[in-house]
Amino acid sequence: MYATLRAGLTRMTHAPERLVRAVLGPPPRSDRGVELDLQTHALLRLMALARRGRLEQLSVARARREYQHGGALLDLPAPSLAERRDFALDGASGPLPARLYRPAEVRGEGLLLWFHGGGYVVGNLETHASACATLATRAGCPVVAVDYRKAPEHPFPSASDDGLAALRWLRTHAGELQTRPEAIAIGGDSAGANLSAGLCLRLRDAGEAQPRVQVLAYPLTQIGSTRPSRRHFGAGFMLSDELIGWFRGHYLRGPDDRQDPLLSPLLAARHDGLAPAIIHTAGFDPLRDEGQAYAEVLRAAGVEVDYSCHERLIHGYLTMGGVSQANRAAIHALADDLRDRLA
Amino acid sequence: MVEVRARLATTALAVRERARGPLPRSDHGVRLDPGIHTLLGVLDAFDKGGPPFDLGKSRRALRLAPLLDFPRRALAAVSDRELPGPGGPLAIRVYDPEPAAALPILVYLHGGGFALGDLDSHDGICRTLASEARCVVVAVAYRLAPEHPFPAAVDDAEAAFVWVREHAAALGGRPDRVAIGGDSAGGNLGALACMRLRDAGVAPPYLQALVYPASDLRRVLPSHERFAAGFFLTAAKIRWYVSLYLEDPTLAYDACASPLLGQMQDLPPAIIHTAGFDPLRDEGVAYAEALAAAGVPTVHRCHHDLIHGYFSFGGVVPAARVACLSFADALRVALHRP
Repeated sequence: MYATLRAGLTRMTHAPERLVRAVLGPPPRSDRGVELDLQTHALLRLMALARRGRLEQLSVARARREYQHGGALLDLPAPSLAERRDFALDGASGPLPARLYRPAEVRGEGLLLWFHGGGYVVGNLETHASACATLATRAGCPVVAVDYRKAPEHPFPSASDDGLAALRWLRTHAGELQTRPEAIAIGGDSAGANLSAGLCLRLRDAGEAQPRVQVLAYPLTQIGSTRPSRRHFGAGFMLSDELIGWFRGHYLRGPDDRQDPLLSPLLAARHDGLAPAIIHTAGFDPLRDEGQAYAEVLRAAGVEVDYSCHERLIHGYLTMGGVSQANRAAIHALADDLRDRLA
Repeated sequence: MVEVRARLATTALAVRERARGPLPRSDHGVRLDPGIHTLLGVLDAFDKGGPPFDLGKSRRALRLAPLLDFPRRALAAVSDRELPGPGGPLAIRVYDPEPAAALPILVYLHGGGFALGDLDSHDGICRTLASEARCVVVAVAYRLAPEHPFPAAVDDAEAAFVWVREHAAALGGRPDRVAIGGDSAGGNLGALACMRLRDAGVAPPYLQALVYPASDLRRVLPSHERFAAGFFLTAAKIRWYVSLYLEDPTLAYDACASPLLGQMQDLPPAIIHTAGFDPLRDEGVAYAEALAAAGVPTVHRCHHDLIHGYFSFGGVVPAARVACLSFADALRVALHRP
């Protein structure tokens, strides 16, 4: 009887997996031998079939629309919040759109200032609304997302300048947001993580206080890195060589910017005196190895680091919570680390 | 589209809450995974509670474990064998995903409160670990309490590890990459074996891989009270298990049975995964922290929305499945590090 029951149950719970495997073939394996998340594999195949996601082949305006509307299909439904309010804060040269996500249950005084990813070219408050709301709810910590200026209209270092201005503004207005200046954390994904890492270096060198925590989700830490993950995953895993090059062409003013530690924080002369870091990478991400390298140099410099690599996932999983359970678990893991660090 | 999905998700949650009540929240403010919540409802229907508990019934009930575990995947070579244990021959099952290659080995000690469990109860997860972590898994049917109280199981775990390492090549593995690990009671045994080997001055295992380990049989950390009932493993069950295992209850306060009370220096690198709604959560976390504080390379991850036992639920709860695979991935990366 057990055998029949087991067979029936297995068929029920694993039919979709069997079906996906039968139709798409086995998912690719990373250089570490780990299989790509099955649903992510399905997504990548579908996108290739639909010829979607090749942002670098579009105009900047269309790429921004595609990133927002295409991306929305992959997101988690945002959890309900106690407060979601749009406002403006002072950037480096004029007001910037910002949004507060206050969860129903707030633990402690911490607040996370969030810089979204999108290669410094695409992305806005909407593209990361679900990710911010989920992080806020799971971590029990309000999130303020800021729509810093983008390239090519505003090349390097406008975004970094805006980031610094936004943090200073929040520190000045901490009371209004029911937090304290020293309880404010900063973070972001991809380019937003690059911005955050650079900002910590900038604050240290300017003698200003470090944020409580730096949250770096699949960060870019070196322009033009030649680490193995760049070779392994440069094509077919969402963030391609072409797309990285397209972003870089828009944001950098010239070749000299490549060495700037604000863009290549891995190349900074020293990494001591920086805020504790939460660094999460994805196993199938061209940026995986430089994210790990950054965790290692920070640790070597005496900075506290929580490092995790989500071996089965690809770049951008934070905004693809609707695609797979594994993406959701990884989003939650980031929030869990933040909650633990803020405690 | 997004609005429709949001509406659907809200509706699904409302339906579930009508049926099973709202999702419980942990002291970290994290809600229990909905799939686990549903599973708990199903398990409750079968579990008539207690105490008193019936050993025979509990062991028979574990025959149903494969229903919830990962489906048995085909492996290139699976063989049942024996090794000479300190109290007679010990049954082992060797899972070799690639007989042609010399792979790292994981000596696996199953959970079950030192009193339950066998090679079949954890067969699904062992197959999954062998295949996903690309290693030879050697599952050990160590002696169970109350027939064989402490320290029989620890003796068996240690002896099994030493034997496997000596015979690594014959088992299709690499003698320099033999790790030890297990879940729950098996985590306790794995951790203790590492300590004994260190104290004996022999080379320690390559790695210790522990899933919600029972590191502290005193049962005094706050999670024991916080998750005393309603989350699969209950305080009453734990008390019963420990009473079957420790003839002398004061042994719980001794490092020979509770690894958390021992010295952490020079122990092998550790991968430790814990669950958020688990009476054993805090001792797992404390063990990871103690190892890290002693300079042992330690990777700890708490799956905050899961319960004790999730390692055996990979077949029916998607979140448990993801958590099991993340453990296998960490193991694979560590075992195959160049």
